[in-house]
Amino acid sequence: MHRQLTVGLILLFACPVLAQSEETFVTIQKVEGNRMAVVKDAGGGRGMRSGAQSADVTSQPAGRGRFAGRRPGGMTTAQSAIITVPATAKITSGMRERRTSEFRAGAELAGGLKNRIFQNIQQPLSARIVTEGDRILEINVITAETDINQSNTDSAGQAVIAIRPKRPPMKRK
Amino acid sequence: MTLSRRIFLAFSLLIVASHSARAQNAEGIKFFESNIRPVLVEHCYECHSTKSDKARGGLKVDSRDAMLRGGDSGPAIVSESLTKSLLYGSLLYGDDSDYQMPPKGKLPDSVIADFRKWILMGAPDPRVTTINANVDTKVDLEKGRTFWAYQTPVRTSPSKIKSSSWARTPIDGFVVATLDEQGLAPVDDADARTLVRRMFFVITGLPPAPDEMTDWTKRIDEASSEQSRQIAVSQLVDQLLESPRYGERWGRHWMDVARFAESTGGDQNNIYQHAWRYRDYLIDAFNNDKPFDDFIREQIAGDLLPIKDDREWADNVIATGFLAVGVKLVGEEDQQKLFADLIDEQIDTTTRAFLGTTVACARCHDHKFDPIPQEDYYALAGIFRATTTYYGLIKAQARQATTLLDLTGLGPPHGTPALSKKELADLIADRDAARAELDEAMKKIRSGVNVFRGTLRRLRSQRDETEAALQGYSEAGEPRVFAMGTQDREFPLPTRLLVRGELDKPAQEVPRGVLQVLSPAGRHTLAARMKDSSIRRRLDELGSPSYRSISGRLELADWIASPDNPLTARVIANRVWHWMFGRGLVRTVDDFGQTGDAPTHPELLDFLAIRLIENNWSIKSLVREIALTRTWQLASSFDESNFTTDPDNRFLWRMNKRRLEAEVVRDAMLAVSGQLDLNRPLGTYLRAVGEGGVGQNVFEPVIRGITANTRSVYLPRVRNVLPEILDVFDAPDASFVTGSRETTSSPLQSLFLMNNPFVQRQAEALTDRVSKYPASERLESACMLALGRGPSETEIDLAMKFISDVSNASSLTTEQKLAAYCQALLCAAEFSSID
Repeated sequence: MHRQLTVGLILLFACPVLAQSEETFVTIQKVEGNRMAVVKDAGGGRGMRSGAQSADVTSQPAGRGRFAGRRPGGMTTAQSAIITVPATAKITSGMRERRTSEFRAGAELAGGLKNRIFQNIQQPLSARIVTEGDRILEINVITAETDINQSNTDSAGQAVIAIRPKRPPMKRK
Repeated sequence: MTLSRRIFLAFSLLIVASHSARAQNAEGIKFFESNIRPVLVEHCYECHSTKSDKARGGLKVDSRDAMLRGGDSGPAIVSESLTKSLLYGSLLYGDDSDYQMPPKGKLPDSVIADFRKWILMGAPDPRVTTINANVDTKVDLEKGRTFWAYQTPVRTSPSKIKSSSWARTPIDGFVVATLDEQGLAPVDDADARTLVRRMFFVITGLPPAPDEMTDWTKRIDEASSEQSRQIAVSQLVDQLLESPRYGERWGRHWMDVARFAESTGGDQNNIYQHAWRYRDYLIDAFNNDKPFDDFIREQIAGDLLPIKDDREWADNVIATGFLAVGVKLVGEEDQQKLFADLIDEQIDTTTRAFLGTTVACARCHDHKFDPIPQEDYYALAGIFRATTTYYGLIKAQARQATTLLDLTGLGPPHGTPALSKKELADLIADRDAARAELDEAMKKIRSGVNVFRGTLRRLRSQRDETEAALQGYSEAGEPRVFAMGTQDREFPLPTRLLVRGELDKPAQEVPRGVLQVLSPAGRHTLAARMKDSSIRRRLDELGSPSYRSISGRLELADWIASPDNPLTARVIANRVWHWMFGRGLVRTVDDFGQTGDAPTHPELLDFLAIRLIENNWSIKSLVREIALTRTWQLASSFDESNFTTDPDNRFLWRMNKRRLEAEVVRDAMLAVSGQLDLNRPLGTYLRAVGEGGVGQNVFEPVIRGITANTRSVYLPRVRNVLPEILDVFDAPDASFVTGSRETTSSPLQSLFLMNNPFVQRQAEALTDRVSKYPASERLESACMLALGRGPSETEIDLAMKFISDVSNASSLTTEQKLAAYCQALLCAAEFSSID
């Protein structure tokens, strides 16, 4: 009991240390409700600046693992973590600029974590998590399918210039 | 060391580290505020900030995220890395002049040192998005609800409508009562010729053919009684309303309101290749006299309406092109800004077109004049945010391109002819060649060879364009059917009010809803409205029970199209009046708010609104009812006494004399010259121009070079590149809702009429047409064709002198003189105006 309390306290006070970090590149493994299993990208993701900030995402529940608890330079170990996403967080698509590989946030994803891209994850999703202090502000997810309305490639990489509209109900007879 | 001591030590270290981090952070922010932010504001914001609306090189430096994101060349700031921070490199004023900032001169070394220190500190920057305090409204809604336009239209008892021997219909009763009040007397009725010409132009936008003019004039003139005269007039009205030309004329009116155009306008002005489907939908809707409430529902939420078959589904989806054909800045880098602007444009158009209300003024603050709190704007924005807009374009040509909606096999006609096997093979070959060329360039880049950036962009554009062209056909070469339109998202997006409309200043979350001033207190949100059993019942009548839209667009459309909405019927009745008389009962047809004009005949406006609803929202019925009034059949003659009291003819003592719209002037020229092609063209003339931005991929002279003899409504409608004749005669540019066109009179118009080859060709064709008559009848027949009347004696004398004058220094032949005479008729003010 004494030991658990101590570990809890350590975690509680550890958070401000992490509060300097503001963006973290992760791979999302699984989403359930408002919780998300993520693995921090080794090296901060493609195109991420070296020496970039570590993240400050609070892992929840305590003791179930965390990511982003490393100082810059300590990003070689991929650790899985469960994070809780607050309802106020903005969930958007994201993309890497073709030429510079810079990350750009895209349009908001309807439904947030209820969006279908999170509901049926076939393969891990690359994402950026933007935080302020210990609060998650934004999650920007890179997936070809999320921006089908803003690009001309579908999730399989094939060009798409038109999609079939959703069929409305039939009129009552 | 025992376990508990180790824990204690770790705990102490963490506390120290924690406090140290906080102190460092606070110190860093203080350093930023005192040393960095002032420099950015003074030297950089002018070209790189949201406030200045500029992002040179795609870079903004007014937020932390924007700095990290950087511009076209990469991130401006990379924490703790001087070599990778382009901003720092540019401050050093190296050899590359493109990377010397600020451009006015190098900053002092001390300032550069501050930036160095700041970046090495980790570039602390407090400018992150935070939720602002709730924004309260100061709008007094209760007071606002008392404004005339927000009151339910009042039915005037028939017994209170002034009976007069002059009045033929209840509408005349309202008009004559006001004339009496003002001490005015109506002028005489228009003569039959004037009336027939007026009817043809107002209802179909074309002049009567000489035999039609003669026939109808005779029937009206020879009527033995006023009743039989009215019967003859009503027969003519009915015939014209049944003509397919009516839909082309009145569909064009609605296109002004719906700011219809076939390009994005804005920064890149990319061509919309599929907007024409919405154009044709409008023409058909007017021809079929689609009830106006259905017309509203289809344009706002057609994709969500229950259907009876595939064809109806496709037509309804096409109708939502209303929300898609507006101006867009498709070169915008920030997708969220584009999305916000797109929604703003949709809110503005929807509320002004159907409600005559400028809700978009409340994007940044409460409406300055009307009782519309800022929350109302975001309540509507929530509905449109839950909507995806499909407008097409090609990604390589427009940064913010979207897909289109595929309606192949659902019934709408193809917009292009099918491809032969050879044409299809050529298209595939083009695509493959473009792909190969791009692959080759990429190979070069990978092997270290430099490829010019513009070349790469061109190759990508070529590949995407050929790919898109190919996807426009099935494997058998059959054209696929694409359309612009909207769809609901899978979930609504939570919407926050934005302080000053700025994306990075969100405040309270706003539930989706409609305007508070037009709703009972506390019942404006979608959730609250759904508790109302009458609303639920009406929605249930539309489709299967409990059918609701995810976005709330269906509910919004139903609210606007409801007979209980005090604005909708009034606004469209006023528009119809405006299109019939040249001026509305409310002059400001798009603004029924405090800054708009009050109605000159409020009771008449309510009467028309109620009649429209009673007649199942039939626009044709309303047109017919107005056309049969004595007020509409008045002459446009001058009366000094009336003019002194009412110079602007606000109280309708005569008909307004007015110039015809640009499209009508052109159509009339083609009609009198016998060159008018009345067939609807296949798709759009812009098909031949191709995809892309004007000036980038497609070129203005090519668009202007498109010639066709179809009605003007089918001409290419590219923003900022209107056909010259339309431009000169005040056709709107379709940047926003234009319920009332400007009518200017400029020397350019006269010069155009005298010198433009199109006008000259029509004059020559008219000459050929009249040359078939005996020489003695030519002048008269030319005048009859062009003006709908025979020439006066003076006009004949003048014309004869001109044609037979052998002493004329010019070497014109008689035929050429006749052509000049015909052109003079087309140039006459009488030709391009109606009495």
